[in-house]
Amino acid sequence: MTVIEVTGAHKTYARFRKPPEKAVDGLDLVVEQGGVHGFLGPNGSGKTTTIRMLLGLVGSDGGDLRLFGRSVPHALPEVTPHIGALVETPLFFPNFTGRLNLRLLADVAGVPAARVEECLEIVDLRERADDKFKSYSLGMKQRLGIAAALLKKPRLLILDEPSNGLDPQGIVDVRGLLRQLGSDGHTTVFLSSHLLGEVQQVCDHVTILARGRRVAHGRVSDVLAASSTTADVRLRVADPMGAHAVLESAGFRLTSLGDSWAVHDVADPSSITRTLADAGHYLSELSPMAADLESVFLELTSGVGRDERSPA
Amino acid sequence: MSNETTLAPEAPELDEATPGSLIRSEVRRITHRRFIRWLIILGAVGYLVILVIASTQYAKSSPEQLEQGKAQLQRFVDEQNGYREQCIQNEVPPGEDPEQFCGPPATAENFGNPEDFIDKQPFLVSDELPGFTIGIGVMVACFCFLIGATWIGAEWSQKTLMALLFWEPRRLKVFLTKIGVLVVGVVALAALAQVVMIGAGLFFGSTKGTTTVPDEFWGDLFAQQGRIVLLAVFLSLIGFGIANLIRNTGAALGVGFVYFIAELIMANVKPAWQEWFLTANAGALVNKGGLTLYIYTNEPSLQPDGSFSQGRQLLLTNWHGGLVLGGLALVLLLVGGWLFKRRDLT
Repeated sequence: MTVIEVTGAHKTYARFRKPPEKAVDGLDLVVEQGGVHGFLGPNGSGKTTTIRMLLGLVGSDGGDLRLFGRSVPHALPEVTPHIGALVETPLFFPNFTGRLNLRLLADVAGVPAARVEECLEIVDLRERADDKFKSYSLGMKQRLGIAAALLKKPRLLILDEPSNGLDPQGIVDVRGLLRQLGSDGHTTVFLSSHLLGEVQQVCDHVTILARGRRVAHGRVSDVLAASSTTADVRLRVADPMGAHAVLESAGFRLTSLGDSWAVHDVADPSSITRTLADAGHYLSELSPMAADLESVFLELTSGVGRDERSPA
Repeated sequence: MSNETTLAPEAPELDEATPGSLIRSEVRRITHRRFIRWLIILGAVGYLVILVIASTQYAKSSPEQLEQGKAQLQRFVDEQNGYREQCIQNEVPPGEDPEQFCGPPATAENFGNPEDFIDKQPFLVSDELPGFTIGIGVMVACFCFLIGATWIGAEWSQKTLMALLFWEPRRLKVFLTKIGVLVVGVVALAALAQVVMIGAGLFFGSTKGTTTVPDEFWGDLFAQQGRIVLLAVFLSLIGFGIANLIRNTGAALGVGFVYFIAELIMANVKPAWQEWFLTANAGALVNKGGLTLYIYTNEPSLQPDGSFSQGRQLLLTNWHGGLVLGGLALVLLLVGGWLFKRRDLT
């Protein structure tokens, strides 16, 4: 079942005495129910604008946006009770306590006061709940924002850069919470982030964005694999220098990995095996080097007008 | 942007959401706002100080003081008639009627009551209370302008309005609820100030004067108080409307300040525009019978009574005042509401 579906969305911001800025340019996005879906892109790639369009804060200039199969923004009153969101920085009254800020939101949605306490507990803020929001550290503010997003026990949790300002332990806790929510069978987590490691660690699926367009999407592992079509391989032999000389003379490009070699752009790994065996070198390891998301991300987002890739 | 609400074939059933209460949330929000609390406390203290100072200005007069006042009044009348006699005997030009040139004889009724000639006058409810209710009412109305401006201005500057829209995406509902809560709060505040004023007036009258009033007094006073409450509502909505348009409380107060300076300047540059000034119309709204303006003109003109004057009188009725202020508030809210519904919130 599709939770988020965006087809051909466009958004251009008019700017005073400046040319218009195209924030989202024909974006397609599909998020299926369950799990954690990463929404990855460099700053200014259109992530936050997309989320704002989905939540009705910003109007789209074209395309179709749906949440739970219902077109938004018109169906927002119907779907909003099932969505929790934290967009960029948490927005609370600085002179209200953390607890009062949550109570005000809970009132709007008919959420019982007990749930406020539960959410404060989840983000470990109960002891500071009666302190004013302005006295909170950046990380505590972020945790209160996450608590607010959780209040409704949402079926869709939209989090925009939730790790901003969190200390290392806070980041670990939040990631654990996201994984837990993504696997509870009720919640779909849509995680917008520019932290590649976070997406790789937490997300099952990912959509990568560049300049307002989707440049890759699918399961994280599939996106990584699809981006490794010109694979590099790791090579380990008993005589590294000898093997290096043989392969280099055969036209292979190698770089040292310390106790092994990386052989680049290997179309057919059996050619390495054959070349080395013919020269009397026998392999102790020949394995594909898995791409990490960072290299995939940089590769995908550095190109302009690159065709969309999908392993699916 | 699609203009239709369509449902995809595989769209999941969504549970009926628990009904919340935006009104309850907004009431809780406005009553917890620190600046609004401070404004109310400051206003209440100012109100109390005014009452205390007023109470020291009045005293019930003894029969002896009244006799002294009567004697003082009679002396004043005699003095005026003495000047009149001098005028008749020495200053009437030939051919002029002395009665017309020097005026009729003065009587005690021309110069007020004996109480007016006593150092501390008694508090006469019929004379004093209407003025007090207007004074207090205008002060409260100015505070309500501030409350209206900060109510929405702080929401914009803190961006909490956007957070609220994650929870209630119907923007007009949010906008109208905020207006509704503001109006109810302002009516309660302004009405309470008027009720307290009546209580204080009756207390002053019974302890420092008299509570005896003409038959139509209470009807007129209640009508005036109603118009004062209306003024507070209009000013709060104007404050709300301006702050909503420029999304900042401080800037809204700045606009109000600049407006009053501009009004002072324009009163001299374009006297005829006074008819549309907010201060004049506020006065027209609350005063019994409206407000008469004297508008200067460059050329003398014929007046209704046959005389020539370099100016004209213009009566601004209660309705005129109400329509100008209410109209401005309405325009600000309509434009603000339309923009709020359509604007991108980033």
